[in-house]
Amino acid sequence: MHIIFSPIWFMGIDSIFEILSAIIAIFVGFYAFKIYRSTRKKDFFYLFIAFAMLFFAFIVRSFTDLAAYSLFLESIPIITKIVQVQYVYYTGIYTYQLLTLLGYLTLAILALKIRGRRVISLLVMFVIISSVMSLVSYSAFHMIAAVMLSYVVLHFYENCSRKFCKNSLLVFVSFLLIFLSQVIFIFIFHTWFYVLGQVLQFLGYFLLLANLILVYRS
Amino acid sequence: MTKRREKAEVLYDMLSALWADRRGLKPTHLIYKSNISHVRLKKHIDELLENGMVKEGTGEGGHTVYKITEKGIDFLKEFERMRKFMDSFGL
Repeated sequence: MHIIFSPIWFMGIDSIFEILSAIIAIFVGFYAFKIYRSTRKKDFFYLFIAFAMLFFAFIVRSFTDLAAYSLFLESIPIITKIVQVQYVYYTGIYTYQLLTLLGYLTLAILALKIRGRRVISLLVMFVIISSVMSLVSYSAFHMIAAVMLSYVVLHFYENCSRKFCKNSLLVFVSFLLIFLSQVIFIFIFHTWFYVLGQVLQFLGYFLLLANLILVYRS
Repeated sequence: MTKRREKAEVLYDMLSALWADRRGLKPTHLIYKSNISHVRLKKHIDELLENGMVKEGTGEGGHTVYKITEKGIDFLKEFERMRKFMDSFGL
């Protein structure tokens, strides 16, 4: 299986994007938690959980990438290099994929207003199995993430048409970009696709930060 | 859970009514403008007084009036920010 998709010049920049996205995710998560503490609206507790999982996912991913890149760029025999890179990659990537899918699943559960515990546990089980299967096929993970995000995007689109304002538009566009990034990651034929996917994903998270700033400045 | 959610919104409505008329409101006017019962007003106004978000004063006719304080205004602003965030996610 193909492991490193980044062009050499982009190695490290993607990790910076991931760390920044993690910071944004935790800011949004904390604000959701603050709302939960004041209003006791359970949905915002789950929103906090979703963004906390995305925070940890991005942190794990960025460190996995950095570790894999440093091994890749080291001057060691190619066979040793492949074995070491694969070991680092598989350890980190499984955690990343599991946390990301759980984060997006939580968002999809909120968007679809799924309340049944049995349905939720079934979905969680599917996510755990899917993240194991995703280790075999790289694009499978992004396909599942894209499917989950499509429901999230639809929810934010409906919310935006119902309560049109700068904030709802920002959230809708941000998730649309994150969804598109996942679609691009499915069809990675060239390193440029990876760069484009990373840039779109980061822009998506950046718009979430813009929404938070707009809320704070109001 | 629902009880606390309602409470935050009731407090917001009460403070909004007091913010709209900063000369102060009589208890009966506050009941009417924030659409709550007398029992609920008593319960929540005590809490707002305790937290320093509302202060008690005397009106022109010598009757009791409630006025919003700076702390109350800060709460209102924060709650409005939270509402904006909640609306942006549509949850």
